[in-house]
Amino acid sequence: MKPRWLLFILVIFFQQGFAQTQLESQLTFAESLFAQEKYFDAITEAKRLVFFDSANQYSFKVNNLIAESYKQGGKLSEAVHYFTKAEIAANNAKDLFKTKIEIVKINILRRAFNLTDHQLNEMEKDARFAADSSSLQYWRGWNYLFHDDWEKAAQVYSKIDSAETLKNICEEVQKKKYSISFARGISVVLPGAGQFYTGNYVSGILSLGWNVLLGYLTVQAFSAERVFDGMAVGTMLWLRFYNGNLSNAEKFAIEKNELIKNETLDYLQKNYQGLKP
Amino acid sequence: MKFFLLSLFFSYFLFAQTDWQRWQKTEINYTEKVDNSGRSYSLRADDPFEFLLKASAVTYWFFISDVDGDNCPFDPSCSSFFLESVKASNIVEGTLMFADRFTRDFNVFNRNDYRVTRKGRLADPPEKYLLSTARSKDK
Amino acid sequence: MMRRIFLLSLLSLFPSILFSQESGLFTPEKRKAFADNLFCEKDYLRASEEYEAINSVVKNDSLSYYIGLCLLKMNDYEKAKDHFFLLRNSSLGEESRLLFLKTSFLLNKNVAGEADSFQNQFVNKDLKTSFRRLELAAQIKAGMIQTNLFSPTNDFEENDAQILKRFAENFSHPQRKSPFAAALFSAMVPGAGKIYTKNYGDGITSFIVTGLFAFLSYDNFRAHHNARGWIFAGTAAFFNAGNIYGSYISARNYNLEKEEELNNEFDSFLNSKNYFVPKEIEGSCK
Repeated sequence: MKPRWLLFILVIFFQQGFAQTQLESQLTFAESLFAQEKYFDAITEAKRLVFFDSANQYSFKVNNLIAESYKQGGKLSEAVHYFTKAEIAANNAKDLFKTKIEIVKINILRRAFNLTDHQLNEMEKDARFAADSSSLQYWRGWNYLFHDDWEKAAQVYSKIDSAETLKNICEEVQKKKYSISFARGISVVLPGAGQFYTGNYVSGILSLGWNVLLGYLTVQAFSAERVFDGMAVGTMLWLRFYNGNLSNAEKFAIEKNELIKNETLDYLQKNYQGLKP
Repeated sequence: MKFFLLSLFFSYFLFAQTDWQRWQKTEINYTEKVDNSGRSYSLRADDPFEFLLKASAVTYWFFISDVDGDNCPFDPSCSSFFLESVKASNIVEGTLMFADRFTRDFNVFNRNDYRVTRKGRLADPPEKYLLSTARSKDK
Repeated sequence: MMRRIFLLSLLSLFPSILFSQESGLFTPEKRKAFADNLFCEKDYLRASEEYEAINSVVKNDSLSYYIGLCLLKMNDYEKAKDHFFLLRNSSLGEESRLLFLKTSFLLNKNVAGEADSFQNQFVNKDLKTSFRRLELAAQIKAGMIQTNLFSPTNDFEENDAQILKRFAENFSHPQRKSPFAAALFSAMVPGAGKIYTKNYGDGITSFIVTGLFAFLSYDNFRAHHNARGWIFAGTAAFFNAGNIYGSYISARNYNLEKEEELNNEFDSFLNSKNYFVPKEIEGSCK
C-alpha cells in the first residue's frame, strides 16, 4: 500500500510543479514582450497569466506589468486601474508604497492636482509610510510643478537636500514669468505698454497709435461740439481699440507664461536625470 | 470600500474600447497642449485673385482685427469665414455666404442653434452653407 | 522502488521542460477558455486574435462565428457583415444570416436581394421572426412602407407595432421645407424665408438690417445725396442677396436636420430593441 500512496503524492507534487513552472515561464514570456516594447502583446500574455493563476500568486507582479505597459502606451486611465489592482494585491508596506506612488505619478501627469494632493496627504498621515516622507515631498513638488505653481514647488524642494537642481529651476521660472495684472495695469494707463512689457512691440505700437488717433478724434469732435460724432467715434471705435489693448496685454502675458512653463517642462522631461513622473 | 470596488467594476467596461485597436508605445508629453488653430497669415495662393483676397484679409487682421479685441462670437471669424467660403466655392457664392453670415453676426435675439467650441465660440463652418454640401444620409 | 520514483519524476519533468510554452497554457482548450473570458471582458480584439489562433489549428464554425461577433461588438460592421455572409450556410447559418442583416442595416446598406433569398431558409422560428422584423425596419427606414399599407403582423407586440407605424409615416412623408419657397419668401419680404424655416432671430435681424439700409438709401436719395444713396442701396442689396441665399440654405439644412433627427430616433428605438435580434445569439456571458 505504502509505495502506491507515495507514488500518488509524487505525481500530484510534480503536476503542481509543472503548473508552477508554466505560470512562471508565462510571466517571463510577458516580461520579455514588455522588454521588447511590445506592450499590447505583453498585456495579452499577462492577462493570460492572470486567467490561469487561480491562486492569485502573481497578482501583484502581473497587474504592475499590465499597468506599466498601459502607461508606456500613454493609456493613463487604464494604467491607474491596474495599479489599483496591484495595490490591492500588495502584501507588504514596501510594495504598497511603490504602487501608490505609481498612481500619484500618473495623476501628476494627468494634471489632476487636487486628487494628487489628497492622495499625498493621505499617505503622509499613514504610519506605514513614516520613513518615506522625503519621497512624498519630492512628488508633491512635481505636482506643484505640473500645476504651474513654481513658487510652492521651489519651497518644497528647498527642504529636500537632493533636490537642489529642481529648486533652482523652479526659482528661475518664477523669476522669468510675466505678471498678468501688471501687464494689464500698465496698459490701462498707457495703451500698448503691457504689450511692450511682454515683448510684443509691433502690437504695442499699433495699439498706441490707434488709441492716440481715435482719442484725438473723439476729443476734437467734442471740443467742436459735434457731440454725436464724438459719441460714435468714442464708443464704437476708441473704446473698442482701448479694450482690445487691455485684452491683448493680458493675452500676451498668459501666452508668454505658457511658453515658459512648457519650455521648462520639456527641458525637465528631456534633460533632468532624477526621478520623474 | 463598496463604492471603491463598484467603481473598479464599472471602469473595467469603460476602458474596454482602448484595446479594440492595436497601439504602440507613446511618449507622454509633459508640456500642456497649446491651441495653434488660429489664423493663417500665409499669403500662399493658387492664383492672383486668391493672393489679392488673402493680402487684404491679412492687412485687415494686422492693422485692425488683431488690435481691436475679441468681437466675433463665431469660429471661424467673419473674415476667415469669407476666405474659406470663397476657397470652397467661388467668389459669387462665397460673397453670398459672407453676406448671410454677416447678418447672422448681427443677430442679437437667439443663438442656440450652434455648437459651442472648446474655446467658447459658436461653431459655424462654411461647409454647412455650401450649395454642394451632400445630403448626409444619401452617401 | 527508488528506480520507479526516479523514472516517474523524470517523466513528470520532461514535458515541462520541452513544452513549457507551446502546450501548457496554449492548448486549444485553454486558449478557448481564455478567449471566452476576454470576450466577456469586452476585450474583443484580443479575444478574436485568440479565436483566430485556435481556428488556424482546429477549424470550427463556432470559433469563426465568435470572430464575427467580436467584429460586430467592436463596431467594425463592414468586416462583420462580410464575415457573417461567408458563414451564411455554415452550421450557424441562421444566426449568421440574421447578423448579416443587422450589420447591413447598421451600415445603411440595402441588402433586399440577399434578405429575400434568406427569408425562407429559416428553421428556427424565433430567428425567422427576428429576421422578418428587422427586414421590415429596413424597409421603413428606406421610406418604402406607406402608412395605409402597413399592417403590423403578429410579429410585433402591440406597442412596438404602434411605434413602428408612426415611424413608417414619418419616413414615407418626412417633414420638409422647400428651399425654393424659402428663397422666394425672402426675395419678397427680407427675412421671411428664415422665419419660414423657423430661424426667427436670424429672420428678424435680416428684416431690420436690410430695412435699415434700404431706409437710409431712400432717405439720402430724397435729400438728393445720390452717392450715399447708392452706397446704402448697394449695402441693402448685398445683405438681401445674402439673405435669399441664406434662406435657401436654411431650408435645406432644416431638412437635413429633421432627417437626421428622425434617423437618430429610429436608431435609438431599434437599439433599445437590439434590432430585434435575440441577445443570446450575440455571445453569452455570465
